[in-house]
Amino acid sequence: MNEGTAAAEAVSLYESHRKVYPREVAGRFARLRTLAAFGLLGIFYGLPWLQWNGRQAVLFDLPARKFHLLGLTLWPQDFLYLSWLLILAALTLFFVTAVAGRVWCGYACPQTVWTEAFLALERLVEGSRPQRLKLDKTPWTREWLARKTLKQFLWVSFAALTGFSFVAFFTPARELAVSIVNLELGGWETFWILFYGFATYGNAGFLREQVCKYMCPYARFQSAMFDHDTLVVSYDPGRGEPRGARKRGVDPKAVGLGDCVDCTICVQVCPTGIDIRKGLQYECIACAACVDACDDVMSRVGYNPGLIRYATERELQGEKTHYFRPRVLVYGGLLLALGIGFVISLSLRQPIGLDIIRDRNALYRVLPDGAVENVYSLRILNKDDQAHRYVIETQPVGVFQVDADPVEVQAGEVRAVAARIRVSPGDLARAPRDLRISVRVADTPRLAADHATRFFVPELEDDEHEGHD
Amino acid sequence: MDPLAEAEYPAARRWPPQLRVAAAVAWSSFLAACLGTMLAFAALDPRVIIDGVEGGEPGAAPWWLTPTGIYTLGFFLFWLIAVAAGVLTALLTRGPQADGDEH
Repeated sequence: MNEGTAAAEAVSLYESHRKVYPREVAGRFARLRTLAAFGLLGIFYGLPWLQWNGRQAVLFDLPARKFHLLGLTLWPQDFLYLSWLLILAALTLFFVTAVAGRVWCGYACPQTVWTEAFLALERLVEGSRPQRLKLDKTPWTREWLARKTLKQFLWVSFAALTGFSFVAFFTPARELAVSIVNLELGGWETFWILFYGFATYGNAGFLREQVCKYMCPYARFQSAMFDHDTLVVSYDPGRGEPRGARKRGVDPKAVGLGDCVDCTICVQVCPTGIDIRKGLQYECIACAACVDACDDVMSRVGYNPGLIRYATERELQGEKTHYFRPRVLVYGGLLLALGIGFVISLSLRQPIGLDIIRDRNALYRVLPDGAVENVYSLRILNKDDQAHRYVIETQPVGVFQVDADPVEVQAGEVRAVAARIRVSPGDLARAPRDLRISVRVADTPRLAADHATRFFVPELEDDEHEGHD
Repeated sequence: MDPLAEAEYPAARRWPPQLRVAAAVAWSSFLAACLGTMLAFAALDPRVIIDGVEGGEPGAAPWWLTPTGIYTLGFFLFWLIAVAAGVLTALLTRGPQADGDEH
């Protein structure tokens, strides 16, 4: 690119568009970012097609109110796990932010990943940064129209695919695909595919870095998790300043310059359009594009890499970085404790739900033989993936006689059964008033759930006599 | 500084304050609506609403009254409520001085 065209392009950039045209960048962080983007997009678009035991492996089946995650099925009663998971995710974000800054923003945030994907399509059609700048300088030519149309076509198709994939997490992907082919797509599914597709197009194709700058709450409160020992993308002013252009082969110290050749490549590659040399700014999404770009320039002019690098504030001031500091230990400890608790709780989770409702009209019934009977309504929910036969029992055993047949409950079904529990006349005096009713799976005794309740008896005259004595 | 280098800066687009407030309100209320929808529908089964409308006559509900429809309407209702709160907050925190500055 010669200097004349660069100036002309830049003028149009300032006066009419004021749009960020990120320059493409190559290097180790760019490779890492591409890898992360492919991995995450692969999960998003591929996961709905993965099958597990004859059903979709990951399916948030909202109409049936159950979430399938591989072999696990979660019910509304398991809402605790979902909130727990969200807390774990938030803590992980705090921990990672304290240690390494905004790696989430640079590598994993959907906003970044989809923006990268849209930019990649843009580059495919419109070429590199200078080519894009040149193309936009002369609009409404045949070439401009052709390239813009093709780009929009690719963007809209990609956004529609994204909308489809999103809905496929809630409606089985195969059924969804078939109903689209047969033009039988339901109204709400159509709405959500369009809505999500539109949101993707708007956020990744149109708003891009504006979302991070003006809309993202994390960008604003991340400073609360930062300290002097957090790794952030930083320019080393001690080494770079005073910046300035110099002739090839000149010793910078001889002409009173630092290592920064002021090529502004670091600014050109920035997707949010900031100058990292002005220090840490909240717009910086830590994508490290400027690190790759500067390392490339440094190697070409024959200087050491790392003028812009991941560094802590302490490191830049020539001090030692403290990795194990209270903030990191507290976030890390909480994360570890909650994570272990989550795994233990999930592995101990019983796939049975049990509710007991007492008949309020008749607390007890005295049978002809003098035995006392209480009737309980049990609601048994089978949260497992297969049907089970459940046996109803009491604790303590012995005095209570249970009159209820084993019940068969289909996977995911709820069944209400009446359980009659009796105490014979001879046992009445020693029968406890508190008991637990339990249901357990007939062939797998370790799968069981129980519920505390009370056993009512008529007031016994003998008891009263004893009481008065 | 070299004027050419200066001109190469991709000056970031800056939004006017009104647009910034609108975007912040829209996005933060979107997040609030996600949370509200999750909490509300963890406790409420949309089938209860559908059964209530149908009154024992399966199929009597309009086509849009499906579980997915109720989740969707619930979500947008939450969003609308949160937007209302956000707009009021923006309005009340403007203050007379900020108003004066704009004119």
